[in-house]
Amino acid sequence: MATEQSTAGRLGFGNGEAALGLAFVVPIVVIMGGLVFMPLVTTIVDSLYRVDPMRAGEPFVGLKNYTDLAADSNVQTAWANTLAYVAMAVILETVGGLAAALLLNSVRHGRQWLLAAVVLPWCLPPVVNAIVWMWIYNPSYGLLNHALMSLGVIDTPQVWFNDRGTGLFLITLVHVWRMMPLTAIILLAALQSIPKELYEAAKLDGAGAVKSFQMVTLPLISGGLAIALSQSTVFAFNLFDEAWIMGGSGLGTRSVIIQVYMSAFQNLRFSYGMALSLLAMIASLVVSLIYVLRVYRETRMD
Amino acid sequence: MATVEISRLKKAYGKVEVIHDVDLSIAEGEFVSLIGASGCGKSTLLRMIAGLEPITGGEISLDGRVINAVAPKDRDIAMVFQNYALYPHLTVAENMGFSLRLRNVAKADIAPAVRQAADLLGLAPYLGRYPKELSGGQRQRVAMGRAIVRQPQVFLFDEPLSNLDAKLRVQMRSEIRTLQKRLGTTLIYVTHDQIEAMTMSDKVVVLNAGRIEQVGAPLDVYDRPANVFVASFIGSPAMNMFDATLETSGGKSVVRIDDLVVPLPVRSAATAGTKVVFGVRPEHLELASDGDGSARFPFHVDLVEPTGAELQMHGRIGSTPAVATFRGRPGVREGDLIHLTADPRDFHLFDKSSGERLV
Repeated sequence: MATEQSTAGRLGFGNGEAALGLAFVVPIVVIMGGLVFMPLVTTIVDSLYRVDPMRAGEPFVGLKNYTDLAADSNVQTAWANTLAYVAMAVILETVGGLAAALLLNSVRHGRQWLLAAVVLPWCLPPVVNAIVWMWIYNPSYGLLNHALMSLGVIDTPQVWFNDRGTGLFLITLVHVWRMMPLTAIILLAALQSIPKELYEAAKLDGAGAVKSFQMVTLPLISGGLAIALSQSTVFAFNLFDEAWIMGGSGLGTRSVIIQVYMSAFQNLRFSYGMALSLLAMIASLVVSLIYVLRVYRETRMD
Repeated sequence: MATVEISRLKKAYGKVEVIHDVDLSIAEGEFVSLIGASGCGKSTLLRMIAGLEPITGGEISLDGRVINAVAPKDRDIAMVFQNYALYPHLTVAENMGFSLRLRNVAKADIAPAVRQAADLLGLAPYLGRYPKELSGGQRQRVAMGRAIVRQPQVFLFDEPLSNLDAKLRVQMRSEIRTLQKRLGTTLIYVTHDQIEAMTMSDKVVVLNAGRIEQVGAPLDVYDRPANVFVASFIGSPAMNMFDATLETSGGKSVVRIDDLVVPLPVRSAATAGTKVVFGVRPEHLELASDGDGSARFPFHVDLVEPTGAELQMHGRIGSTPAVATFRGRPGVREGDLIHLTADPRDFHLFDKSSGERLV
């Protein structure tokens, strides 16, 4: 007790560990409260009003913003685009990230260099990344056309973004290129937490590579997998930079968040944009929750 | 049940050879312990038998079939790991039935097999639990259960008791021994604990720096260690060893340790003047009574350690540190000079240069 008091005294807190704990907690509470929870609450409240700098007054409109959103065909297209982005991005990031993590996990020498190389795209600012890829996709001097033509896959240069499906896929690819390293690192960490004796035991129990992946690896990384799936879903729902730089305001590749931006800041219908941004948040939360509940149900071992 | 034949087995990591030409044959149903200090290659040897380490040279055969190139999963060998290596996401029953499930055994056949092994090991109440919900001893049993369920040709145990507390270790020792006799399965057991090796095995293999120093029944290894290494490794506290010279006195062999002359019970074949190592175990030393004519070792007592069952006296005979253990309470104090004696049949004599046993 005496030493506790002297420690507390040295740190300048009157009543010991409780005050110290509080001191550690306060900054994050202030930051989260001020930058996340308060804006969230005001957004929820404002989405029930008509907040529009071009029009006088801010009358309460109830759920009108939401019913308008449901009827807005541009919004519907943006939702369809975003769902396509999410589906493709989550699948590609998870499969690619898992493959990369397995590969990195089996490399013995120079793993740190490979890891650095894998992480690099993730470190690039999204805008820079998108611009680089925009050049690659460029119809007249882009690398993609050049490469495919020299391989004989296509005869003439393609204007990739003329086709909506191709455009969505290529934008997803850029996003995946940037976000896959995060999935890979999360899964690599999960893989490295599996004791190698388990694989040896599985070998002696009669498991080949496929069985041991299926029956040992997969169940044991399911916690990491849930985290990786959730983050890739949330980031794909919030896709903006890549689609904005490569597709601009074009409806064919417009994501929900671009729609939010256009509604709120170009058409200056603030509360309409707020309502849509809330829906986007709820959608990504619900999807993530499904993974977490489904996958975590299986992982009760540690 | 199978025989295991190891011949001229080598293991090298790059240029560093860690197992040198090991030969060993293990009979069907035998309980064999590999014992040695850390890094002597005992675990590597076991892992090579399991197929977890590639073989650099030589052969391992199981029931006459060379298994060098056979994948671990096809060797029909079960292993119990030091840290148990239980699958944390599976229940006790699923852990034990894992190998059968991989073999596509019908669910209806797995359950009774698991049940039977669980009954044998007293695990029946825990079949639905996860490994994290079990104590160390229970986990150890599950690891054994997983091996038993398969009914393999050979069991391999890699220091399975080293993570358990002392009391449980004693209990598991006899359980493993009993179980092995009951199942009759060949078992190779790696340990650094000589008590485990001595109490459980039919045959002890003493390894040192990648070579076999001696193979024999536990008491043979203790009573007639083949060389200085085995003599100092087996037995606790370790055997007292003295540098000495072999001499002849009145037609009998004697050894001279500094100015102490010890007569030997038999005439040594080695020539007089040979440099030898004279050994006597601490537990064979006893207080000398006056005038019985046997060799007397003057012993300076530096430290008396009571362990309960016995007293361990650390001191010096001449200038060489020595230890003597007594079952009684002789009332010796630190700083005393006492005289010790031993039955000449308990003397050990080794050649100084080769380290090999002479008598």
